[in-house]
Amino acid sequence: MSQDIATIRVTRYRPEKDGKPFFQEYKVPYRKDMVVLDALNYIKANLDGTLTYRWSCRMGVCGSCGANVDGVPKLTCASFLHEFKGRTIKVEPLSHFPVIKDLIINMDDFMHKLVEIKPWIIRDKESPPEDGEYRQSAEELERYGQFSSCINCMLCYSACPVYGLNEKFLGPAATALAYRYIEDSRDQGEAVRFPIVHEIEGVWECTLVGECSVVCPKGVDPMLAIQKTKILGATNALKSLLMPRGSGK
Amino acid sequence: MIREWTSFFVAVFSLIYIYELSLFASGAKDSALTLMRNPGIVAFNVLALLFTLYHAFTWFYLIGKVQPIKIGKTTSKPWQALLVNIALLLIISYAVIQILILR
Repeated sequence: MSQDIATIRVTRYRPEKDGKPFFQEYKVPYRKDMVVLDALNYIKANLDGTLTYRWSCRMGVCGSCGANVDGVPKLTCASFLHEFKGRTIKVEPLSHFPVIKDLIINMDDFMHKLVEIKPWIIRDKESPPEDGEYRQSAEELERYGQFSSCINCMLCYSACPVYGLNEKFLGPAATALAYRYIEDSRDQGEAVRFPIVHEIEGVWECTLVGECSVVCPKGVDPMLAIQKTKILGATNALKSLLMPRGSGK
Repeated sequence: MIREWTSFFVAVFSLIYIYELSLFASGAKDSALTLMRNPGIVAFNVLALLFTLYHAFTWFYLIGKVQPIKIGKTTSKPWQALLVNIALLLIISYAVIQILILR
């Protein structure tokens, strides 16, 4: 009985040898329960040990294995071969990022943006440990819980046409993370984060395409976070205008 | 990305509309009316309207998602914002047609 075979077309790019990226085809045994990462691992183990790509947990929680699969940003560990039409699947590096080698992209810009929005609880004054923990109700947790699920996989940046045009755009994941802290009842860092997210290249570059939320593997809905941040900013600006001395928080 | 494509149809519609207005302005009323009645132009206008409505309806739904209204313990759902805004769209469109076109 002949074995079912899938053809994986992978972008190869070795800067020391190749002038530009090119596709290389590999034939891998096809099983219904195979994911794209399984195919890449098969290639590396049996066909071509030079193929280079990132992966780690292989279960959709670390965000390492992002790639463009048949043109759509996906986690390769969470994309079954049978989801795609036919037996030929194209795997490319995530769009909008410089490519270091093969499927490995340079994520320095994203890392810089994550740090820029200060992803930690900011307090005006820290309470000493003997005062006990910061209490938070279920409703307060619900306000930001969804946005804390981000695994920094960068699929949203790859899907965002605005980021593709302007790499200075703060972007979906960083804004969602900023919003996560702005909405956290324990956080008092609005005055620190607002100037960052409300720069022109912060939330205001977003034109509500929404593809970031479509491709997000964890249901974070960064598009929603960006729009909610816009509303907070607009409300804040109006308050400052109407109550210049006492606009509150 | 379909919502982004609506801007293409709106842009082309605007160019055609500006041309029609220029024909009216230059006294070529018959040419303008002939162009407006052209089956291809009518078909394109219908397509542009469908895309614009798609844009409007998805936008209304997002309004409901981004800014839900809280009344007491109840929070509005996106589909409710969609229905309210569709109703407002119909009312305002009817008013505009009555006041500006059918007067």
